[in-house]
Amino acid sequence: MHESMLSYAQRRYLKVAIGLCALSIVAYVWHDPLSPPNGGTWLGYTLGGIGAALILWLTALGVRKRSYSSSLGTLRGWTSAHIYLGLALIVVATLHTGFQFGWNLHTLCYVLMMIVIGSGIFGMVVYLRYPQLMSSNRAGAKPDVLLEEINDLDQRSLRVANEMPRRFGDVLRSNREGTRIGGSTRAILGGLDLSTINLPSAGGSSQQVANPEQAALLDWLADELARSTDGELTKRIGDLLSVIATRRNQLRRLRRDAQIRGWLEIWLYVHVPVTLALIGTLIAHVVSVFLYW
Amino acid sequence: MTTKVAIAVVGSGPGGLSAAARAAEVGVSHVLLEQTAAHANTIQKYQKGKHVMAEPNILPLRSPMRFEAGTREKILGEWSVGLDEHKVNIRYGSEVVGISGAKGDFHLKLQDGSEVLAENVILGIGLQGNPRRLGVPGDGLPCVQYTLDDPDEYKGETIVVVGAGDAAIENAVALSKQNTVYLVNRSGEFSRCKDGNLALILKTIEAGKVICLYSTQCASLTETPGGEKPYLLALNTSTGDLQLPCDRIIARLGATPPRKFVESCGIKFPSSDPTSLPVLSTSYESNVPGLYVIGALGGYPLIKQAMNQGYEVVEFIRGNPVAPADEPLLAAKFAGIPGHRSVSETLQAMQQRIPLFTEVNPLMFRELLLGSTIHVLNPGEVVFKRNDYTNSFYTIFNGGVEIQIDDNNPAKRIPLMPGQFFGEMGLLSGRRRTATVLAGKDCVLIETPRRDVLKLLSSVDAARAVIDQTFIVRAIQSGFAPQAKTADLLPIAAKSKLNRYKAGQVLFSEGDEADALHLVRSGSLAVLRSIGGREIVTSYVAAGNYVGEMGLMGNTRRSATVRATVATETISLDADTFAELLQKNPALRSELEETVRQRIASNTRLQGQDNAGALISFLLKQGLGEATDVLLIDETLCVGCDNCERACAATHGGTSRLDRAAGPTFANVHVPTSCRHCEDPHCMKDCPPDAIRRSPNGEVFVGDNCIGCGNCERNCPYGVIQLAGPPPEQPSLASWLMFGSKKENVFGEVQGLGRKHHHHHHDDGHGAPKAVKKAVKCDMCKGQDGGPACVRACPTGAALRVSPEEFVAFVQQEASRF
Amino acid sequence: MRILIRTLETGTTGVAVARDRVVEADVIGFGRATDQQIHCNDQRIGLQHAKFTRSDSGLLLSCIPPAQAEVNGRLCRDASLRVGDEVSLGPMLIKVLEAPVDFDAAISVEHDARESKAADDAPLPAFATSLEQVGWRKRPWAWAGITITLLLGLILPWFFVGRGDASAAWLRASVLPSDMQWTSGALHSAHGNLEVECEACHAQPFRRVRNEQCLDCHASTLHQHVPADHPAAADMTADRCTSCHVEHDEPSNLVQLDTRICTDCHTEPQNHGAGEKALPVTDFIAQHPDFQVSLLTAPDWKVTRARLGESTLVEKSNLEFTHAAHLDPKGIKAPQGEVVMQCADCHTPSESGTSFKPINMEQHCGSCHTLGFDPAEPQRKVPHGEPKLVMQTLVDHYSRRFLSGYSDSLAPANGVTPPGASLSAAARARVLGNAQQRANQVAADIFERRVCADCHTVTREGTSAEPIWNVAPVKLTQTFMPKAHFDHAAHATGEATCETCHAATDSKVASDVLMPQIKVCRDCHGGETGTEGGQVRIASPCASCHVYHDEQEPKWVPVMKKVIQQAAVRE
Repeated sequence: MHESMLSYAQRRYLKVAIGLCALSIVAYVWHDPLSPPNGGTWLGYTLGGIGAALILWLTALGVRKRSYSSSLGTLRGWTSAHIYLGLALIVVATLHTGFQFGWNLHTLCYVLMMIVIGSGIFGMVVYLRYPQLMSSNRAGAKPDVLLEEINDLDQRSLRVANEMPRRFGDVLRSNREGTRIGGSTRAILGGLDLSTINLPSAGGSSQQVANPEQAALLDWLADELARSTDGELTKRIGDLLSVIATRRNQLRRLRRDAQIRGWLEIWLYVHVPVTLALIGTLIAHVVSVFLYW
Repeated sequence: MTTKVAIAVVGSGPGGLSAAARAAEVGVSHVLLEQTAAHANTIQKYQKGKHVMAEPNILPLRSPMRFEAGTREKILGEWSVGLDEHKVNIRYGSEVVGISGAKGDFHLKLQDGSEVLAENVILGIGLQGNPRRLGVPGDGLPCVQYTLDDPDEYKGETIVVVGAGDAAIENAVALSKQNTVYLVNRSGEFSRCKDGNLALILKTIEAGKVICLYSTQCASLTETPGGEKPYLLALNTSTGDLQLPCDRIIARLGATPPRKFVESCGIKFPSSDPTSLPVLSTSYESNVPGLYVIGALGGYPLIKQAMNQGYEVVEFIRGNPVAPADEPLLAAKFAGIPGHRSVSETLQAMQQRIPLFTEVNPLMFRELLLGSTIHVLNPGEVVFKRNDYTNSFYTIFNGGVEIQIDDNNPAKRIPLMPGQFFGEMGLLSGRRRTATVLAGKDCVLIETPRRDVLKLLSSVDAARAVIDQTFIVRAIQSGFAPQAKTADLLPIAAKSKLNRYKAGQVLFSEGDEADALHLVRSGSLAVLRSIGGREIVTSYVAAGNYVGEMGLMGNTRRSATVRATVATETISLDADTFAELLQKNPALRSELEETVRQRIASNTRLQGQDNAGALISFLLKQGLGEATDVLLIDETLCVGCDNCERACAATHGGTSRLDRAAGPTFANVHVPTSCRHCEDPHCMKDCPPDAIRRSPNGEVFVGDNCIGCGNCERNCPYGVIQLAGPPPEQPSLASWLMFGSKKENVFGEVQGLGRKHHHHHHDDGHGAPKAVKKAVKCDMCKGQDGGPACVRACPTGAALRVSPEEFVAFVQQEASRF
Repeated sequence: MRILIRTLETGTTGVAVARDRVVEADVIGFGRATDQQIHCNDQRIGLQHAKFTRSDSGLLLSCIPPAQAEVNGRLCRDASLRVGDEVSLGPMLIKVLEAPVDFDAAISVEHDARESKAADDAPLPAFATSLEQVGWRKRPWAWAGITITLLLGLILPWFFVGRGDASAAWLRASVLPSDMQWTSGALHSAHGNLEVECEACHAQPFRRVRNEQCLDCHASTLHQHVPADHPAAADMTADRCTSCHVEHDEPSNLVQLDTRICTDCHTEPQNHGAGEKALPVTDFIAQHPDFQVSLLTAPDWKVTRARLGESTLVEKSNLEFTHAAHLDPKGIKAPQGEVVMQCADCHTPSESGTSFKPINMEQHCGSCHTLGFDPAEPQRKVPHGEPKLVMQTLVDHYSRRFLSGYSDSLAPANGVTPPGASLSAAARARVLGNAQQRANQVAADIFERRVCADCHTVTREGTSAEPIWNVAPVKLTQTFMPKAHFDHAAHATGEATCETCHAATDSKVASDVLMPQIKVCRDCHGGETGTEGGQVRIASPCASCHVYHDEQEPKWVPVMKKVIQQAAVRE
């Protein structure tokens, strides 16, 4: 009934792409020009033409994606074609070069193209793998709901702390202030926890320490628990421990969510700009080749 | 006063005004009796600045009073001008409490005890009736009012709204914007209001905007000069007495329906059904000679109709019969009918030939036909196809049609004779057409819109019975006994029972004795089995299908529990009566066994996947039980690009009709907040301008004539309708591609925590709606080729639309994937 | 159980309003789902959050994990409740009330004031969790990408295109992006000097490199491209050079060895304007006609082309000669005795070693064929030249000798003239007469019988008193195969001797043409690949024998000028 972009229409575009590659390869092998194969032979021009056309068409996905009222096929069809023909471009373009590379604009054009395709392949992989992870990580709860929940846990723990010695309240508040989700590219993509917390140190003053996964806080509470002699207090610390454990889990889910979304997006920040650079180079390549014919 | 007038008009509504004006125009002695201090009281009570429509546009206006679509103020203005122009003899503040006497000598008793003598009486009092009074000491004080003209008039007051009906709720909510509002509810909950309003008021109470005093009565009202507030309302609440200082009290305790009064005048009603209408002659004369009924009371809610009738009835009384205003329209309709001579003759012929209509009174029948279309078809022409989404109702005036039940076997047809009807299945269940219908020889059909027929059914019991029976017979035939003769089935149909179930109610439970077959007439059912102690939904039965056919084979026990997923109507046939039929034709028995076998097979297939059951029950919880087409998102494919929303926004003037992220998820199936296109849409329930329609392809959409009242928004249980202003300015695609957009809400929203989603402005929907705001909802992109934009715009194939037909298949596919 | 649920609504004015409900159920559910008895529409609450059941002591609370409740300020999942207990679930505060008569329990439900207050002064922290929030953008980079590439890759270099001035040179030398980045491959070493002078060849933008540019350098050095009358001349467009001599292409090979250069036309020569006589050629092995030789033929010495192998060819050189006799392995009589001759005695290689020096009588024949005539003075020789000169030599010789008193059988016996005695005029005349007579006798002898006649054909005219001899002139073909290029030195390998190709030892007449036939070459030489017909031979494309550019005097320039004009007209 429904199918992924890859299996769209019984992989119609996969077949098209394979056909295109096969055709190019056969032509390349059969073709035997006087001079070594390069972009300047009639086959070279043909492959080059196809390649350039493909590049422009593949870029057009960006436009089609947003011309919402367009009834020119479904976007899924376009994506499917985009993927397969994009991969086919590797073969077409490579044959166009006749395996002549050098430190020149033309090779730069080729390299940029490969970068775009590479990032595209990465994107395809994450698109196929990560939604599943995201959905299972969210388990139906939207991030802001999770945040609400954490917020609620904080309120509760603070209320519990109100019944306890002051240092508990202070620690919990600083924990809340020190909590971090994402914050930097590294943190987002690495799912790192840059949280910090102020824990009371020996001299009565407090010192800031890293608090990844609430570990520092949990340790601190554990110490307190070990040291506490007052039964009532012990119970309350126990309560706090369980709350913080839940809090840690929710935070973990949030970070994971951000991480997954980060990976789902990051490749586009390469794919799109490099595509534009590629188009610039492509124009330069085509014009220069005929400028110095 | 004892002077006798020729015509006494009761009620200065559109009808009354028109009648009186006509009388004045032609110099007939008359009096127009209006109980309130102003004419057209009902329209006076409309919200300020409300746009009044002049439906039906085709109908020409025939009245000395001017009337065309416009604002309430404009129309009322024109009428008061008209009153002066024609020097209409109108008496305000004179409520008629009784009418006695007979033609030529009627006595109209007024509230103040005085009497009016008249030869003829025209009742134009509408259905509004008189508002119930507060009925406590001090309810005469000026601070007590029974209507609310413009809620924005009042600011910073403490206002007590008494009552728990729709009017009370709407006023309370509207007022709560600028005032402290107490809502006094006699009972412990809101039982008398529409679902929409219930949701609305509970929301408002939860938000603390309105303080609701449950199970509370008003005790007394006193003036408190020099008090913090001018008045003091004493209440006794469940938690004791309460003294409530206030500025104003608005009593919306409903009204005493006029029927009692009308009957007291001797006018008879055909049925006890509260919606039924008095029997009238073609000249609007009731069973009491000289006593005429026009307007809403006579079953003509539309202003223009009433005004025409006012004119006409005066003409009748003056003894020069005029053809009704709709005469030319009907003539035009009938023109095509072979052998058509005059409108009246054709109308008679129709009523004679079509048993369904014989009972209907001529006026109502005219009305019915005015809304209907006449089709003169060539043999073999298709009336409608299986799975069409038309829900109009057809009656055969001439010739015949053939119903083609089975597309694979076109020869298999049920012929229908003149006088019979079809299309009732869609009429009752709001489902797609279950069969294809082809025209027979010299076939003439009357196609009547669903609403008109339902109106008919509510007032003519006979018609309803006929339709129910036919429905059953056809259901049995198309279900599993096409061979069975209608004649054989009719007795069974006669013995069948109509059952109504609330959502979640159980029809029968696993292990019960299987004694009946249930045909689902509307709504849908879920089939559950207890597996390992847990109840698991194993299947889903949409309207038009049947369940429990095992029951008909006799002496078995139910293999599963069946529960209504939404408010559902079924018709049950008990085994004993059916057994007779089975004896009559064994062929039927074998067929039945076959269908049973198939059903069991498919059930077991579903049970194979236990999570499939879980998924079904989840989806049913999300309202797929009543959905005809719902947007689902496969979370294993969704990358959260929100392209679906943007596509929706872009193709619908900047406001997305769906909220992807919102809505629950189960087993990777996500149900976003978007229209389910319910088979019996809640949003359609009360739409004043009837702007919400269902297109032939099934899309439920909001028409341009939406007045933005917000009823639909409140009525929708899935919160998929919003009131949106004019579309925000969008950059052109090119400029967006190059320079992006300032409007993050339309394009390129910055995702992230702590940011709210862009269209959650459900609040400004209710109360006095701003004229610019109109209801927007998913229209499945009707009129755009390529189907819904959301699905077309999904790059990964995560978004898909599912209709009940594909429902089970989809679930199996999904279930097999986790 | 039968439980009383009292909902407390508190409005803005703080007036609390109670609303009682009676519920009869074994389990009282609390959650977001609408089917819960206590319904709380708050995101943090699960669809089924907690449930109250009856216990003998009163009510029993149990939360559905991970939900937690706060009972009297204590967090827990399950708790048995007593009257007065306060349960805080999400935003709701539930109090256990004294159960009225005929009720099992009673609870009140209200919004948790603390909760709402706490939520107010603690707004949600905003976290930067999306890449866009930490500053990632697409558009600026995209803009940068396309602008920079276009600017540096096209526009800037273009600005210097065509101006062969210092600025361009400087730019190309510098690190700045110049049109150097457009070179798709290195130039052939021969053109290395042009590496940074694009204009030298690319004279005009968007026009292919034309022959003029090649001519600028090559006009003087280049050989004829094709003769003016070659049919291909017509095909040659203005950029013919570049169509064969591709530059900036690697591996760079300026000279085309590809057979197709010729066979494109020569497979069907007639289709390319060749005359009837031109035969199709596809490959040296597959299809190549017999060799044609150019023969210099008496009497008018025109060069005639004749195909080997068709019939035995005759070379009319007027020479009387036989290779067989000279190459007699037993040796041949020579003044110095018996001599065994070698080919190389006469055929001496040219400086290049590819061909041979012309045969020269004095050098190659004279050692044996001495032109002596007077046995008395054998060292006296007649010159190898005009008959008149020969005659003159003889008369002078004998006159001198007779006057000096010599006599022999021919001299009349009139007594010996004593040395130093002067003769009378009459006697002197008689002696000279005798000498003349004697010369005529000797001349007749060497012209017609001994010396000249060995190699030449001689005819006699005039009177017996004054005879005149004519010697038919001799000319030898110097180059038999002018259209092919053959290197003898290259072939002087292994045991290959002249005999291998030239059957000289059996040649009994001078008219024999000793050029080898194609089959002889094919013994060692294959076609383009050399692997035709299953046997491996020397790969021999056309160019190994034939040169595209003719080896004769440069008619190139006029031809190409014409051609270029044609092309110009065509464009």
